[in-house]
Amino acid sequence: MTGIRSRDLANRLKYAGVARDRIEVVDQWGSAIDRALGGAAPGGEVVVLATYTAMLALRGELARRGHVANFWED
Amino acid sequence: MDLHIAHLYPDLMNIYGDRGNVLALTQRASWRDISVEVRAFTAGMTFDADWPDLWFFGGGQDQGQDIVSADLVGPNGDALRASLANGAAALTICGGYQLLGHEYVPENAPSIPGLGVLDVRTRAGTLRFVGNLVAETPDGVLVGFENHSGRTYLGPKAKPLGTVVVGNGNNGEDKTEGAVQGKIVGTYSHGSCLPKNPWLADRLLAWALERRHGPQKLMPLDDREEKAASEQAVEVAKVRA
Repeated sequence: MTGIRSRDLANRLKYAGVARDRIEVVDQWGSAIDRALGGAAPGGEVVVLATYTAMLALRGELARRGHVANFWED
Repeated sequence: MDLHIAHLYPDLMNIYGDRGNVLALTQRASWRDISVEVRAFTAGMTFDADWPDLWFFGGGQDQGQDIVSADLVGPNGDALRASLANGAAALTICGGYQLLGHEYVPENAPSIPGLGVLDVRTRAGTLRFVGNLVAETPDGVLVGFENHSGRTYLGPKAKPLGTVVVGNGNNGEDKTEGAVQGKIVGTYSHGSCLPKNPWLADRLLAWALERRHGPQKLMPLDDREEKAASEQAVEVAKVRA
């Protein structure tokens, strides 16, 4: 969980019955991307569920790292 | 122990995610080994006034509210009134809150009567209040998201649930947010409200349990996620107003 409503989302998952130790909050887009990549198997897939606003911010961070083109260049 | 929750008009009053309040009540009860049964009470049914310990009534779109207010003028409204008079508790949000008051006065149409169990009146405003809502209450901070054009004013029998810190609350003028009268709570806080305001969830649960089982002391829960969610929401509200 990351972003300005990250704790709200973590709480939502708690009420959905997700175990506490499976919910992790990471502040800052870059740190959240690092954590997600670290948890994925090599060649595996990371699934991001984001609002449109958060998706643009995350994509901006991925573009800065050279993983994707800026969206206006696609 | 067991507990009965009636979800009022879930098919007609179901926007803004208010259903999360029923999920929160159910979970907080089940974490204490209290089994909850939730039933939908909606238009076309005959309400059983004896069954519910707690009523939940959320916000809705205008079209839904017309059907609901027509249904509440009949025997179902009498059943709800009788149930509340006999000690059932209620959480009402936005449109549900307005409909439990004396009336809703639209801009250019006749007044729509409410149930009259909350001493509040609402009239239509021109500007819609949309945004983060934070209020201080004697039991803790209330944080949520408001989205209403109604202006609600409290009479002497209803006490404000809290004092507005961020946002508009009841009417944008007197700094009050929500209303409490006996075991009936009204608020403009969507969000959903209860997961981030667990003190309110527990107050409602205690009232509801009292009706069925006599006075009960609720086992405390580890609310660190709720507290973190509330603190972050208050911080966001203060920055973004």
